[in-house]
Amino acid sequence: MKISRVSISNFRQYQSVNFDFTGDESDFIIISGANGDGKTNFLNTLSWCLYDNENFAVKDNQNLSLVSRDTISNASDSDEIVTKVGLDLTMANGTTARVSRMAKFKKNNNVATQISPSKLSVTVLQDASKGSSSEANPELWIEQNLPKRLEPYVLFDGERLENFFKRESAKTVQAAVLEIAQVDVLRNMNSHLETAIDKLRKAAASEDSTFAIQEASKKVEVLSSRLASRTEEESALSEQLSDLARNYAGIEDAIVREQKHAVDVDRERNLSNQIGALEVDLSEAWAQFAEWGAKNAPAVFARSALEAALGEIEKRHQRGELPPPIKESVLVGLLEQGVCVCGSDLHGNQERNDHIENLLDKNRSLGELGAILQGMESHLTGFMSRLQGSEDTRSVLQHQIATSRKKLSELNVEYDALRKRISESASQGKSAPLSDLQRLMDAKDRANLRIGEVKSEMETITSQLKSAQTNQEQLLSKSKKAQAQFKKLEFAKEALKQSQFMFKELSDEVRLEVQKQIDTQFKKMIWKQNYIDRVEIDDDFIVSVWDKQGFEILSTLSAGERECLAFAFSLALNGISNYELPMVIDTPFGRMSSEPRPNVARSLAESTKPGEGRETRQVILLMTDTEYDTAVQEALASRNPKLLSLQFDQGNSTVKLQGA
Amino acid sequence: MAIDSPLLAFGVDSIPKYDYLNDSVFGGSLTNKGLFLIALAYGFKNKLLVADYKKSTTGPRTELEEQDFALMSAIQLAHTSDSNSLKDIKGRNELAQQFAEGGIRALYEWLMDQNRRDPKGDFIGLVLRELNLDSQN
Repeated sequence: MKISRVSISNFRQYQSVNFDFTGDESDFIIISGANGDGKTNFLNTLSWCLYDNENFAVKDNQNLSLVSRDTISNASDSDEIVTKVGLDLTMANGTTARVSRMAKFKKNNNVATQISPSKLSVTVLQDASKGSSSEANPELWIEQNLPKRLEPYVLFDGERLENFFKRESAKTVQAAVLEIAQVDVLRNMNSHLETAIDKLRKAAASEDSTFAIQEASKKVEVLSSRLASRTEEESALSEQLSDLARNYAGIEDAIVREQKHAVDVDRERNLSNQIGALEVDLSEAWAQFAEWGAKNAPAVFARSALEAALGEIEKRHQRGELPPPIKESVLVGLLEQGVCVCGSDLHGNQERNDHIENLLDKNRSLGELGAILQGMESHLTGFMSRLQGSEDTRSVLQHQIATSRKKLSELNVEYDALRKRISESASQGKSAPLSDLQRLMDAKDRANLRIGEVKSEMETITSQLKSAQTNQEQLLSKSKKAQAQFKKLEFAKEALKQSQFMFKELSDEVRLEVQKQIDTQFKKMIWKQNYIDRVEIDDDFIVSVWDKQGFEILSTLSAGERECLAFAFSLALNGISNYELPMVIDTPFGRMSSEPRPNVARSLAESTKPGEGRETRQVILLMTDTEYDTAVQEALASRNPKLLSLQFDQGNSTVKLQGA
Repeated sequence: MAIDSPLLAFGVDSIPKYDYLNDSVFGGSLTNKGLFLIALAYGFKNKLLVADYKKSTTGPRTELEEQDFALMSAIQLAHTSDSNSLKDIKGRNELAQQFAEGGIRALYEWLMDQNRRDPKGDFIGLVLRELNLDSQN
């Protein structure tokens, strides 16, 4: 079976779009689109059209009207809005079936209210000579051709696939395998036979009213009723455990998200402090730099004047017109103390003494100009040497500022990214508190404890019941009045025994076949081929993955690996089923790193090709551009896929389809 | 220690400019003397002598020291190219005030005209360029 056309009207962001999957490349379709372009809602349109549900809607959207807000606002009050999804299915026998579901809404106060239940119709288009015929019971037609129980193995959300084995119990795996292999028919027969045996037992007992038989029958009835009550309780508890597991997984995800959020918030605070401290450092470095600038600016701007004045002074020194810049009072002091600045005794060194006296004479004979120039000299020299000395300070400050700025820029980039992530995470809403998880864990523990008790009670009751039934049957076998009914009972018991044997044989056969195929498919997809030893499905239908060291590693598989296991499971189920249903997968590689993508893509392409005793399985992949990268394109090239592209038109608030 | 405190008057119209320069570039950390010397040297560097302006008679007063007078004298010598001019203290002070007036006006214009977002950084860049050092800011 293939989906050849899909037409959508007024379904969420689809106002009016027609998908045409006919043509040579009809077996492998790739629909690309960015987030929000309508990929997941494409999956929802199929789910809604076939089964009247929206299994892939995010929780927040589940209660929203199917009609988009824009369609509502464009309509007038009291207007009727029709949502319709039509599918053309090309069946294995060449006929085409047109499946269509529509729902009517009425606009009132800017809200679209559904005014009647959605209506399903199926028209089978025979060849030209026979025309078409509408199915009187379209729901039955769907159940026969696309059974609802197979939906989980036909329509996939890749982002949720990783939870396939985490959330679903072995019971679900068993149900899937048995349903898809149609072995469950035998199980149903067993159930009918058990009911028949029960009735025959009662009928036989009613034929003979002797006290012993009646007492034995009463005992059987009491025990049967007790067992039925425990079975019912066990079933309810199992259901409760499944619900708890689903809720638990949801809360666990939320808590992980919350923990990541808390780590981000902590990091944000830390970064904010670091940025604050760095900004203070930078500001201080700038203040020092400004101080450096202010201190040196006069000498810097007036450098030519300083150099010219020092040149003039130096010229006068050379001409002997200007003595060294030593003050007169200092020279007088030296002569009076008789000690030179170099420490030598001036009284014992006439030459040095004369030199000082000569300097004093020159100082005293300096004119006004000489005195001015001499007074300027030490200050001007000071300016120049401070200017040269400031170079080191400048270099240190400049380096400090450049380093701080670089670091600040890096921190700001990280900070901005973190803020964005925190804001996105906050917009997902507050997750459930840890106490919710604890409450669920407590409930799970209580349910597990009770289920253990119930199972133990059931074992005891079953054993008592068996013995009571044996006793009853012995009495009945001796009763002439109950003989005819007893023979029927014996026959029914033999039939049940045979049926149970066949069921066990067939389910084992199917289980082993699924195990073989899941093992082959998984190993083809997985990138750690040398690490994985085998995939097993045991008698209780518990899936396990073993490494070459002999360890069971299912719980340690990454999200991507779990996704591969889910694909492998679906492909294995496809391999044993009598249906050739299409496979529609939204964001198949969304949670996978780039490494395994080509392997998984190649395996999907190869496993759904026509093969020995196998028709082509149509595959429709809904991917973002990031997922459909060059490596994936190459891996899928052998199937010559048909490429279509979704684009959300902001202006008209609708999805548009383009042949890519 | 201030050895002389002549009233080196700023132009009346320029007093707000000194305030702006001090606030925006130096965060109010500079003294009147610091600002005056920067303006003086900048005015000298760019040959901006403003002779005709109305001086403030009430302040602000600069507390100058020997080294500051030495700088003023070096500028006086460079401007006149005559050593004897150094004897003219009043002339030195007047010349310094005129260059400072030219300098403060030009610095203010430069900061305002460019509508600078980072006056402090730009001023330091100006000093660095004068030192033939590329600004790495």
